[in-house]
Amino acid sequence: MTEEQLKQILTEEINTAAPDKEALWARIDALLKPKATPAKRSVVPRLVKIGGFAAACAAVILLVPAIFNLVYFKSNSNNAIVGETASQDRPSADRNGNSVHLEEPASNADRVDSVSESLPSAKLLRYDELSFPSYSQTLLKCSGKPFGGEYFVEEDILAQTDVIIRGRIDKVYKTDDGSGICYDVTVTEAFSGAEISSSLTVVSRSPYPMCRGREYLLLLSEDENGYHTVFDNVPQTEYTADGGMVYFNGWQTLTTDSSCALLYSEQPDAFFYDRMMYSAAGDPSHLIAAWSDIRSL
Amino acid sequence: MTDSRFEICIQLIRNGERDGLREIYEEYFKLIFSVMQSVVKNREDAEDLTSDFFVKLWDRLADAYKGGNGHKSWLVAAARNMAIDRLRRNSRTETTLNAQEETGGIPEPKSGENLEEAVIGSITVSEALAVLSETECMVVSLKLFSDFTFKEIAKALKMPQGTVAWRYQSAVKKLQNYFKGVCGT
Repeated sequence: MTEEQLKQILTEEINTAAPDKEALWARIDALLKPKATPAKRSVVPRLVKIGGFAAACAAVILLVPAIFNLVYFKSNSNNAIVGETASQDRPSADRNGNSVHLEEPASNADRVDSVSESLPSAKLLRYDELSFPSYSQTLLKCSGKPFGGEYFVEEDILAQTDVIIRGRIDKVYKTDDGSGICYDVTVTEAFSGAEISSSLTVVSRSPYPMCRGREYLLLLSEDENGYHTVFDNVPQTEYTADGGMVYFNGWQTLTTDSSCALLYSEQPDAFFYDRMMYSAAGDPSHLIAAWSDIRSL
Repeated sequence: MTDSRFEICIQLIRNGERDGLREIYEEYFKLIFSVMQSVVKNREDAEDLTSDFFVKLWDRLADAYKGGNGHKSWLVAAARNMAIDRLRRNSRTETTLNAQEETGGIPEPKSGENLEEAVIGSITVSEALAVLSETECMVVSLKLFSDFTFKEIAKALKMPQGTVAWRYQSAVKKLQNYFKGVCGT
């Protein structure tokens, strides 16, 4: 008898001997005690850990309160955007120059808890339930190494960002050497505070290409060659037709009360299958504020 | 089910959402049942234990889950521990079937079926598995039915991977010899 035959008869036996699924569930369900106060503990956004050990280092970096406070909320009298005062609760200005009061958390851990406690616990949306503008799928692949390295660290990405825009992809094509994909972008909203052209070309080497016709929140770096995406190893944050936002769950600053977990792919084995979030509010203001703070340091 | 998905389900359980438990149950109730049956060697007790396991997962176990890789091994280890605890509490001796019991003669093979298949079909696998030790039975079930890797089995049963591989080969050999002996070849 071969192993395969053994496997077959064992599987048949277990399938036959196993109790009726629904009857057993009914029995279990009847014994479950309701949990009096659902403990909305955090689904702390996990860091992408492509390649190994640096995820632990990145987690330490994120969770050390002193570093978190230093990066996000340390007072800085040279902040160009802020009407800075010496008080601990700094007012800040949004892109329209309106004051936006930022609360200073006691520690990074408190902020993570307070953000995550607001997450709806049970709603699991599917990506294909969301509505998007009409678009064309991008089938191009490029040969270059993705920008930004392998490890997602929110503060580092913000620190390397020169420009943040909301833009619509109008055209997609390869670079001359095939190392990247060029996106001609119409800028629908600029958050940088600096002069930005109404259209620009962005180079990306992401294995998760963007689609023509869709809008994205793009964090860009500018160099002598033009603009390129800062971090390529997660799908870019994209806008839905109703103004919501689909983003990688490592973006703490994009998570709001309206955020919920999202099933991103049909394939459970896909890396980002359950690592994406949806925010109905589609509000990047916290991200912009955090970026402004980091850039002003 | 991926580890990430499992963690989401655990989080739902912690938040009092039954959908999380249901999803884990749909995915793994046969695995848990087979683990329980490997230990207690009794279908009714295994069913009771399976029910108790998922209730315990709801009540307490989900809080103890620490995350990371290997949720299947964690489930198996927890289920096996629960079954062993129950056995000890009840002070039951393991019941084994007499592998040599007559089954009423060798059946005639059906059309298209050879004699070996006909004989094997008439023997319950539980009789065959009774020749194995509890550990061998567990290793074979996890490997053949649930497609665990040796590494996952080693983690679940807290034994070296080499020992798992050796136990598996030994158990398969015993089963092959058992069926060979019954077939009379």
